[in-house]
This record gives sequence, structure tokens and C-alpha cells, in this order.
Amino acid sequence: MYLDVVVVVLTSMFAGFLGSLIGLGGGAIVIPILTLLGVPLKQAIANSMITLIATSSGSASAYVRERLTNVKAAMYLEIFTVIGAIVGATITILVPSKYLYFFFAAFLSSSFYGIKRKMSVSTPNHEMAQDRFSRWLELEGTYYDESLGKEVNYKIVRAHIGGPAMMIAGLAAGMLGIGAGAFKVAIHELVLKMPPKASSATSNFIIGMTALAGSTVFIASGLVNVVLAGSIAVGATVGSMMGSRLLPKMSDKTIRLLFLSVLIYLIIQMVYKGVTSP
Amino acid sequence: MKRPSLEEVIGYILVIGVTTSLIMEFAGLILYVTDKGTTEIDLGDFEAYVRSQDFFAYMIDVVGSVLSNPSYASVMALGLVLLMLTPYLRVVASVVYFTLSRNYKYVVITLIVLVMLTASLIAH
Repeated sequence: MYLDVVVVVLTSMFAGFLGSLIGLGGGAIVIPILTLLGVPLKQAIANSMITLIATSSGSASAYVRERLTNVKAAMYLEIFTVIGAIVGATITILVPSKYLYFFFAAFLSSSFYGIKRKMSVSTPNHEMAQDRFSRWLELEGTYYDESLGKEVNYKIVRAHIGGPAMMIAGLAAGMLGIGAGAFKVAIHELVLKMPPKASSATSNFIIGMTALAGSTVFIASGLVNVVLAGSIAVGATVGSMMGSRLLPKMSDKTIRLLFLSVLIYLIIQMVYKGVTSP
Repeated sequence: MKRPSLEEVIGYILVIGVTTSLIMEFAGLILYVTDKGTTEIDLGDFEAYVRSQDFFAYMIDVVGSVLSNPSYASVMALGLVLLMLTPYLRVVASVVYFTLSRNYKYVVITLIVLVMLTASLIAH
């Protein structure tokens, strides 16, 4: 096995670029590629998780200042993702890698929700009345939607289901060293009835915190290598910045095709790795 | 003086934290390549591993070694420490903000997150 700074920086850049184009977090792409380069799976997971803080926080800071992020909802949901991520990362340290490959492949499949989402035009919730718990948590939001050219007001519902559901998202994120963004967005939209833009922005914001929670476990495990993590962080952040610049210029059809092919390739590769690993 | 909004404060914490961290990482990579004379990553290099049982003690160690004897390992470790501090400080700022605005519901919610993170950072 020969691992090289330049190779890791460039592949992470590619992963970050592709990830931000297709809306799949960089982690889900960079981890399979690192295992292809010969990095043991657990080490790929631990080092990718810490760099997720950098890739998510870049865009998170912009969304927060544009008020797209629902900070209160994020704070409430983070209670659950943080518990999930700490438990998940601990499980990863304890279980054999063979099972993690299969779990990784299974979880990647949840990203298919991203395609369905891009094809449908979602509108904010009007039909459901806000329940008492969600109202007590002051979970509502307002943001200016440029594509609609108007203010969007929304009220979050079913926070008592959304919270515990986010624990599963956090668990998967901590176990696999990824953001589990597609899964989080699905909960935000389907359970909490958040509008799409607020949902993506809030999910992105929470990913940074979940990544920190997982990393609190990994930094004690002796899996985090500063040269590897540094190379991924620099590459993935630059790559995702390039991706978000290019995103508005690409057609939805191209993005969907790219997304499908990348996702299917990654799933096949992780299943193959799982089957062949001892 | 008007108090800045929580969104502004958080936005600045994220930008400043991630930018300084990435600068350290990049500087560390250059130090690594010039120091080792190769771009190969040696996963067996013991010096390159983070061993933090107590994050805050580790942080003080890392700052100390960057100041006394900066090497690629200490500079990049400091970059990772700053990266992890970024979302942590974002929670601290939220606790302070909700306390100042007397929203005690959210003081409790953000404190729960802060306590869990802190416990996991120091208890390994």
C-alpha cells in the first residue's frame, strides 16, 4: 500500500466537489475511495468524520446568516444526534469492519431519497396544525426564498417524533463517519414538515455538530492521523467550494444521472469489500 | 450598543474557526513534505497520531508544542483541535445568548448538548 498526500488531497477534492454537486455529503464518497487506496475502513471513517466539521461549516455559516437555518430546531435535534453519534462511533470501534461495509452500503441506499426529492416540487406545510410540544419549543421559521421571490413562513410539527428519529440519523453518522444528510433531510421534510431550503440548511448545520460528537470518541481511539485528516480536510473543503460554484450552472438531469451512477458504484464497491474482507 | 443576533455570532464563529483551522492544516502539510522530503503518508508513523484522552489537556499540550517546537505533527494537530473547537464554541455562544435573552427553555436545551459534548471530550 502506498498512500500519498497529493493523491489524498486530489481524491478528497474530487469527493467534495462531487458531493456538493449531487447533494451527497463528501464523507460518503471519500470513505469508499480511501478504502480503495488501502486505508483500513475504521481509519477512513475516523479521519473523514473530523474533516466533515470543515466541509459542513463553510456552507453552514452562509445559510445561518441568510436565516435559512432554523437554529432552534437544530439545537433541539442536536440533543438526539449527539447521543446517536457518540454511541455510533463507540460501536464502530468495537465491531468487526466486515459488518461496517454492509452497513455502509445499506445506508448509502437511503440517499435515493435525494433523487425523489429533487424531482418533486415541495411546498411548505399548510395543512397540519402545530402540536403543543412543537409550539412549546418555539419551532417556526421565516426566510426569504429567492426563487419564489417571497417570504416563506412555516411551523414545525411532530417534534416529539422528529427528535428520536434524529437519534437514528446520528447513530448512522457516528458509525460510518458520514453526515447522513439525506436521512436528516428526509426526517425534516417528512416528519417535521420543514420546507426544502430550510431543511437542507438545518441538516447541514447539524452535520457539523454530529461530526464533532463522533470525533470526540475517535480522537481517543488512536485512529486519527493528522497527515491523513489534514489532507482530506484541505482537499474536501476546496472541492466542495468548487462544486457549489458550479452547481447553479448544471442541469437537473445531468446532476441526477451523475448522482445515480456515483451512488450505485459506491454501493457495489462497499458490498464487494464486505464480502471479500475476512 | 445593539446586541448582534445569534445567527451573526454563529456565522462568524464557523467562518473564523474553519478558516484558521484549514490554514494550519495547509501549513502543516507543507511542513510535512519539506520535513520528510516525500509526499508519502506513512500510516505507521507514531508521531502523526492524535492521542487525546482529555481533549482540553491535549489542547494545552498541542499549543505548548507549537509554541516551543513547531513541527508538522503539532501544527496539524492544532488545526484539528481548532476544527473541533468550532462547533463546540458555537454551542457555548448559544448558551450565553439564550441566557442573555432570558430564554431559559433554550438555555437548558443547549446546556444538555454542551454537557454531553464536554463529557465525551474529557472522559476517555
